[in-house]
Amino acid sequence: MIERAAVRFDLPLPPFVLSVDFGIGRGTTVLFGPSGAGKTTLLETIAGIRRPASGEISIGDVVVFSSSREIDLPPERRRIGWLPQDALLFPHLGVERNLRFGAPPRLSADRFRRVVDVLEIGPLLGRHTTALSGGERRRVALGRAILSEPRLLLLDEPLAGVDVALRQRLLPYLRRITQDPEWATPTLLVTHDLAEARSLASVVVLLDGGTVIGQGPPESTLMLPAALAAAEEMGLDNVFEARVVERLAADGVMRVRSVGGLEIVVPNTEGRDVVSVRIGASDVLVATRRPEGLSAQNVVAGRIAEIAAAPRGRLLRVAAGEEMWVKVTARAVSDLDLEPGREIFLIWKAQSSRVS
Amino acid sequence: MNSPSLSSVVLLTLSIALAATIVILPLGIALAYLLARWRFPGKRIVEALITLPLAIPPVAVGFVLLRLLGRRGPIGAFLDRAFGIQIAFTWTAAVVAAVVMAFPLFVISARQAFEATDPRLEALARTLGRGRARTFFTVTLPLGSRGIVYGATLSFARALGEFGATSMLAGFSPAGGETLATGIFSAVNIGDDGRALALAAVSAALSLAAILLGQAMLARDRQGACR
Repeated sequence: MIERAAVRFDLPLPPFVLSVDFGIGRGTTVLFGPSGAGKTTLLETIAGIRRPASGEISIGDVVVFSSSREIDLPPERRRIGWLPQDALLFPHLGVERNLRFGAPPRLSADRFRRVVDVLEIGPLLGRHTTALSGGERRRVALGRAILSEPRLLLLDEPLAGVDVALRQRLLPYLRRITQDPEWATPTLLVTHDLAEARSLASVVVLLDGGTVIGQGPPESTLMLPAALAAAEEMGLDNVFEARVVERLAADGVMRVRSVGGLEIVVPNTEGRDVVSVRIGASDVLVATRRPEGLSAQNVVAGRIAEIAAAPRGRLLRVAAGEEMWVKVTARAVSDLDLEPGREIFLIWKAQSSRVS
Repeated sequence: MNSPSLSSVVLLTLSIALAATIVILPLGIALAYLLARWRFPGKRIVEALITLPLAIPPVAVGFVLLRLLGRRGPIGAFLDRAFGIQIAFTWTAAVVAAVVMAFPLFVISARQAFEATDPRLEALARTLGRGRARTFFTVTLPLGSRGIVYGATLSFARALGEFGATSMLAGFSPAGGETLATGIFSAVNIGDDGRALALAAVSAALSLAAILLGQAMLARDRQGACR
């Protein structure tokens, strides 16, 4: 079993040189950074699709690239499972043949069945790839990568562009694949979503401008200003799933309750009982006492878990049934004496949250 | 002199067009892939040379081929001396003329098909353990098959009607017979309009059949994609 992969290389990539050096242990290493940081290029270089100018890439005992020793294994000999961002499927093959494309000839029916079951793609086997939804395509592509029995799994934004409900459904599959001891394939996963990184990472490697600027456990690394800046750049939102409790159609709103017990009012959407709620970190106000006489319908008590520096302000991580990120100014933190452990009230209008 | 029978004209024309298409397929696929996926010095010159037969009169192409492949031409003289092979005014000459004239149509079509295929699919196939050659045969070629079939159909139809270069290199009666195109020319020359009309009708029918066959193969290709 592969315990570790090591990546160290330089790749001229105007306007910067992608210069990285990090290890990938068992479990999932999340590569986190803003767009243009070199994340996708890094995965493609490890997969052997791009050739670095210098350096060394090894997976377990196998050196797949070394400029000093003139080793450059072609992609087909690296045994790396690559899931590109758009979950590329071979359009001329059906789902089952896509799945089996990279599988070894000795692949047992049992193993095939297990992967199909875990990813719940059994009903799709006879279908053509054009008949699949976005989430189905990703699951098939993920299954294909796993069935190729890779030494290392490279997942490029496996949940990007997927709506929140589907994201919630796909996350458990990813967790199963990357954390289940039966698969136990070291995984390098690219994301710029803070919640996704937190939820999946054993280790976070922070990448910016082609350079590793931090690495370590997710709790501390994702609180580094560069990580928060990257998350903010993509729009730092609080996202969670909630069940409709009561529809107040006359006011155009409904009351919903999240899995964590957070009960709030959001714009009404007809037809669905379980919805995904998205609230921007900058759309939430903070009060140190419960306010009265407010028109805003959401006033939620919570406790500050952490305060982190962010570009042009501070980010509060607040436990309020759900974990919520709130963006405030540095002045607000000092004026209101905000500190970890303090109880505060979060306020936002029903209409400022988005429901899907 | 008696004119050859209609069936022998059709058979000779079909044999020339078929042989030309068979020659064009591997050469054209290799060249189209090379042009679509690789950068190399002199690429523009290669592109220009390939399309040249479309831009100049077919008779001029035939004349150049005759000067090269005729018994006194550099290639023709060598083949004659070394192997006792004569090309000019034979069935082979008609095939060579058809290949040169139909080749650009095939390469343009196949190249467009290869260029339209996402190269990341090939990269993906390689990460899934397929070497360069297997990737080409299991991903690149099937994905380019529409352009290849279309190009082959066009080339075949072009070869069926080839006249200018053929008449220069193979004469009006290649292999002692007539092709549909040279036959029409000869019939009109001797005032046999009825025969010319019959040959023209057969020519149109064969080309139409080739195009319909190509379309049917493309349709089957589309349906087969889900298996």
